Amino acid sequence: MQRREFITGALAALGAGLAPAQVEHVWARVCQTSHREGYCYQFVPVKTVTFFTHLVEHLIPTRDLTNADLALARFVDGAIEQTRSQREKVQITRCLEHLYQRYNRMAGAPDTTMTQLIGDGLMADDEEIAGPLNTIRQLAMVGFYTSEYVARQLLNFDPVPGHYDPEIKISELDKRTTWSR
Amino acid sequence: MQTFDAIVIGSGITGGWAAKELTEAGLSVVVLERGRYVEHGADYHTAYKHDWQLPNHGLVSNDVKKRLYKQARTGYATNPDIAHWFVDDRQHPYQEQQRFDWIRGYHLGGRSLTWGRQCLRLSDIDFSANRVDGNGNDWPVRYKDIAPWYDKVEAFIGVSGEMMGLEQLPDGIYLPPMPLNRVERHMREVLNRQFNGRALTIGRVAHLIGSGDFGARQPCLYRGRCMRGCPTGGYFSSLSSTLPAARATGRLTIRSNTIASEIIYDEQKQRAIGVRTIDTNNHKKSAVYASVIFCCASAIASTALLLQSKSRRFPNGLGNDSGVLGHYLMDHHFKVGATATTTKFGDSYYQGFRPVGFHIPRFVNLKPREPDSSLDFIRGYGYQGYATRGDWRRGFKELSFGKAFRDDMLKPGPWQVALIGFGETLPGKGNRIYLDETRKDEWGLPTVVFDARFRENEQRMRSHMQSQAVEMLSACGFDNVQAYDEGSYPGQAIHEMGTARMGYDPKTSIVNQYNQVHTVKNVYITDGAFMCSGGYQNPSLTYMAFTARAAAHAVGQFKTGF
Repeated sequence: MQRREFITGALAALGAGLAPAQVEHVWARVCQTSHREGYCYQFVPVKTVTFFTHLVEHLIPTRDLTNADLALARFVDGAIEQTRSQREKVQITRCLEHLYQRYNRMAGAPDTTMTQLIGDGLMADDEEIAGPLNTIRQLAMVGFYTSEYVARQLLNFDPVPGHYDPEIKISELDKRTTWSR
Repeated sequence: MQTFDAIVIGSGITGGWAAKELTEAGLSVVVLERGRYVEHGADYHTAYKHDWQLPNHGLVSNDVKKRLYKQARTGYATNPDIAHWFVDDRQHPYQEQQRFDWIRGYHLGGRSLTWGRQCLRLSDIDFSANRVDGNGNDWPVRYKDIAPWYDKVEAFIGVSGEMMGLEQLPDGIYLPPMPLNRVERHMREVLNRQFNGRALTIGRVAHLIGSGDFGARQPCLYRGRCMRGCPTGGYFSSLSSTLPAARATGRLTIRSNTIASEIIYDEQKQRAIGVRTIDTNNHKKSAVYASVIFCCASAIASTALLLQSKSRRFPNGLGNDSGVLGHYLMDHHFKVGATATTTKFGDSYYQGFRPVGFHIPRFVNLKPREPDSSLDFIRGYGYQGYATRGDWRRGFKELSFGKAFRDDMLKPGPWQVALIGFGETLPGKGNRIYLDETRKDEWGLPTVVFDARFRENEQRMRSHMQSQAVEMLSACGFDNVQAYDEGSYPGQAIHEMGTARMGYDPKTSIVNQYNQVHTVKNVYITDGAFMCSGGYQNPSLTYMAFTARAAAHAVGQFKTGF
């Protein structure tokens, strides 16, 4: 299975409102090919998209943040596509397939199950699971902490300090968070 | 026929100085720049972008990784906010008999846009080192000769720093120093108390600090985004400073997208008369003519140009009677030292993105004539370092996730301290570049081959750089003190020096004490190529001082005749 078959095109289609939530598949651009048009299109199961979104949400949660439409899953997916080597993409795809199958076999509430799945995956001896999952985790971190919302709302946004103060106290800051620019 | 009084090849840190000095002395000057034209400020198109406005929030794209595959060795040149300041390695190839990281910026302003901005003077310990230990050739210059030119350069570019009164790191003309933070002050106190002869100071950097009259430039805003280009001119670059000064004279012509392919030598006149050029866009060949030529294209590029400039008189390259052209290549070795963390000073923080860390000047082998018998290496090193509080990136190393982790990473992390050693490399003939006439670039020019490595003295010095860093951080009472040696390859410090060295004797050197090619008196080489040794100090300030001095000499010669 191609990774983009698993996620990307479907995320884009869902995000653009092209696929109603109740449908089971979306018609999505999934991978570059040598085909003349350059891409192939397939029906992608919505449930796999849902799984990926669920996974990213558990890595770096955003639902509790007011008016924070960070679209982290889409960011992570795009970052994988544009910044990872072909080899890494294949590893990530295999990892996701493995996690998806395991998730479906696990019993319990979705949130608890996902938390356990991620915890086990990151600590797994199998580097083919732990490595790619950690990559996804790190990309989710980049997407989150470098977002405009987090920079302005959660961190101390200070793009033009104009001076350097060598000694301030964290306890006296309105927000006791790091500086952001 | 296009004729000027002077041709300056290269528009970076020395090309800008040559252009400024020569035009201000009344000469008409053309600057040849092989890269694209860049307008100061207007063309710094990422300067005001936030992370979320960059492609993939600043992650490096596959496309850039493929194009800048050697520049990528820096670990930062491919970042989308600055990748446009580094060359496409596929378009500008070079070869490595041994690994050499040739990091370049082909655009107006060159690497003066992306330099580290450290301004450290060489001392007489450095200028006499070759003579004392017999490595390399003796500098035909001593500190007193160049000191007034350091003064001149520092006064113009603006250097923030602290006077220290150290023989090994002479003081200069400084704007107020940037302050040390809480942990750095603690380190300074410990070093003063427990390490006789060691000092810690803030880095001396070419940033405008304070409230003086800086003309069109403005003081540093502490944005910490220097390498994107500073639209307000908070740090020195040739685009913000020297080229505008040259332009103001009305005697400056800039030719961008123009490669200097050969210096034209006239055998009857026994001097150079011009430079052959190639337009990078349409490959059209042309020439410009002048009475004076300044090679400021960078150590490697200037030497390659001389090697390309063959004639009946100079079959091995212009001015290369000695055969040393291309030899005695140097860089600083670094990426060695120690790191630590501390949970002390937990409530201390700082505001502003200070563009420089601290500096621990050289403290070993300060009396080269009386070598320290406890050391198994000669020459010396210093440290650059920082103490900062970690941000969310510290979470990369953890395997945590979820809301608690997310919120914890928003807070300032523990203090992180690093000491990064910068060591001197001995000048050796075996470290060299040469041209491969069989492999040419798209403009038909031979490619440069590097054959250089760090040798035994550097390796022994690195062990000491590690152990002393551990000792100092441990004495400071820090936690998790860890030595590191990531390995260092020539070129990585982006301090290429040598290959057209200065000297008294035309039989063993290329240029004289005024940077003038011994046998072609109207050609000056003032970028890093002329260096006889490198000290441990970042070299750009020295290049600028020698360029200003050489320009004054050239003006005198221009008026009286070469």
